Amino acid sequence: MVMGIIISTSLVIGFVYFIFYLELINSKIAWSRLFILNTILTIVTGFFNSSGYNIYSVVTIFLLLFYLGVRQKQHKLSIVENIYFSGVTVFLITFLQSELNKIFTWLLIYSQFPTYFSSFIVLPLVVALFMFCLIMILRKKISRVFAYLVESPMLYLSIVCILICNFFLFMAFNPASFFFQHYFWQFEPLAYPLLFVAFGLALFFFYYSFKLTNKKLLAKQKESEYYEMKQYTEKLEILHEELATFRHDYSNVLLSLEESIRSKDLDSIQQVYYEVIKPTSKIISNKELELTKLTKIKIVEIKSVLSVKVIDACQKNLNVTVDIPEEITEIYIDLLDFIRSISIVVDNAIEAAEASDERELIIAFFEVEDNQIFVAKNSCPKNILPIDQMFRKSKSSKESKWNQRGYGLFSLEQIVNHSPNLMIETCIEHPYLIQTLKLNKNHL
Amino acid sequence: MSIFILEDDVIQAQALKRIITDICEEKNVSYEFIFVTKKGEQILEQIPNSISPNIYFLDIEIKKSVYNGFEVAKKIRMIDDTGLIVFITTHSEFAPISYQYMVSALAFIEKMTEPAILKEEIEKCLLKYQELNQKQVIDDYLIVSNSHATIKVPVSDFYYAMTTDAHRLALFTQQRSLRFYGELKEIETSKSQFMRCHQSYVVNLDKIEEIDHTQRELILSNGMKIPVSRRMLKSVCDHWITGL
Repeated sequence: MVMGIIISTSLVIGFVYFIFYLELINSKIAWSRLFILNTILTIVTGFFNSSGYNIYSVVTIFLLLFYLGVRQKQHKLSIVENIYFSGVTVFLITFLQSELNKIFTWLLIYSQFPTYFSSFIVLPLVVALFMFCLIMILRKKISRVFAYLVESPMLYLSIVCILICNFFLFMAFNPASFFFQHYFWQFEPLAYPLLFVAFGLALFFFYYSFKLTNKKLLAKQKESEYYEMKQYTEKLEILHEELATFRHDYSNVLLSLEESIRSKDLDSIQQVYYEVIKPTSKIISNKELELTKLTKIKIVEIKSVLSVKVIDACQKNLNVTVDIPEEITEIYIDLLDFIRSISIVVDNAIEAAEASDERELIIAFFEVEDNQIFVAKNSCPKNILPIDQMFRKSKSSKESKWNQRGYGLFSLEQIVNHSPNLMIETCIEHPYLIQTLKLNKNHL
Repeated sequence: MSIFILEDDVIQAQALKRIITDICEEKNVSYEFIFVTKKGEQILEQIPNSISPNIYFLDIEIKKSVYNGFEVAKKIRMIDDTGLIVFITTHSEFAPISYQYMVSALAFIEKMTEPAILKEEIEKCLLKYQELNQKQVIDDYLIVSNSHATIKVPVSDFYYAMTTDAHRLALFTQQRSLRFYGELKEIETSKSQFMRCHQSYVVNLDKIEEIDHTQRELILSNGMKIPVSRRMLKSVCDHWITGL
């Protein structure tokens, strides 16, 4: 009975370790494999019989997590990152577990509840279950931390902090088995408060880097929004002026043509037509006029982002067409997610169109039967990847690991996966590549 | 089996009718009648007098009618779901993609192209029309419909589907990939030739060309490779062989 409880405690805590780690590195494995790994862990730690920061159990957990990080296929982690995340998991969960155990025991002793000897055996199990529930509830939040942490400058600082914390933990739990025990013995009373501080610092860094990156992202976004809006207005003003000049010249041209017709002078009619009127068809079909079609988008952020991309595409001498038949006043998914998605899609389209022979780009945005559809169609070069390999990170057309460019379609997939009512369709119809985002109206 | 033309410029309308009759004679395309008008309402009135499927050539910039070309297309779709709609337009109002989705238009033809190219484009549409008339084949579809997405894919085009995340699937056809909210369960049970060959993959047995036992991979007829789990390898082999 007692054995049973102890074993289940280890098992539950094992799960907590693994699930926290998996969420942190944004990966999944089959439950059966997880169970096997957990059993190994339980056997090994049971063998060394401890519920604290015993060096053997810690090393076992660390090695198992490291192994997991190496074997999983969803993300390619560097050795440093793997060590870091394994270290963080080991430290946080172990510390949390031991502290919670202490707190609950203290509560139990000082509370009014009648206590039995058995309560102290069951207590670790209760703590383990509590931690398990906590992890399950906070799963989504943990997986988000990963994305921010990797991009944060605080990463290396927090690595150092974690190493220090782990070191202190060793010391605190194993004064007996520690080599330099006689040297550190004098520091023992300091150990716990220091530990607390270390834990607090680690948590603080986690949180702070999260917030910092968030803030930076927001600031960058506001800045680019302003810049984009400025570009858009400037471009519109230029176009407006061009059109006004054109209109003025055109009425003069028509006057001279009328004169030639009245005098029935065929030569002069021909001259006016070929030299003056026909060339104007070039101005009319000026692709920069496509920009004005964006006025139908009534959401300022989307309009500014797209306008910059259209201007950019025109300057790269691409044949751009904008197809927005009706007004758009709302978006059926989170605005930021949507903007990131279309940015990635349009950027890729521009890049591919530049490398192609036909140099064509078409952007469309409209609504059909409760579905908003955003389409980027572009001509593409002959060596385009097959569609089942396009979204895999290591095989991006830029052949880079964490490089921003290669990360594009992979990030797109992450965003899409976060929004249940968003769908992507990728179609290859030579020589065009068509990316379609479909936003389903939520019938909630 | 009728041809409808909506064009408000009489000269262009007659020219178009001429091109169409020429092509139909050359390629032996049969039709009940050709109806030419500059008023969209008249087309809508004539549709009940015809037997579907029809093909409609609509000028988008029509001016003298109550509805413009696009609105006519929308109204046509409400009564005729299977007819082919072809938009004829001048370059300035070229808006293919949105129209394509909104009324399932077949094609866009620019008025201002050279006569030879114009004829070729119209011919392509008419041949499609002929195909539609001759074979009344009912395409078998895979339909996935849940609270967040609706997918309709011809079964003959379905290669495989895989999970990419919790409740997210990626589905692959010859030319397209679709990523949407769904579960593999919804797909594997829908047709007998769909089989779960791996925890994360459902494959169309008809599309398997080769089974690699050493690498434990299925090689599909378009070159795509998907893994097959140890457990499922034998039963996939058996089902595939019996299906061949």
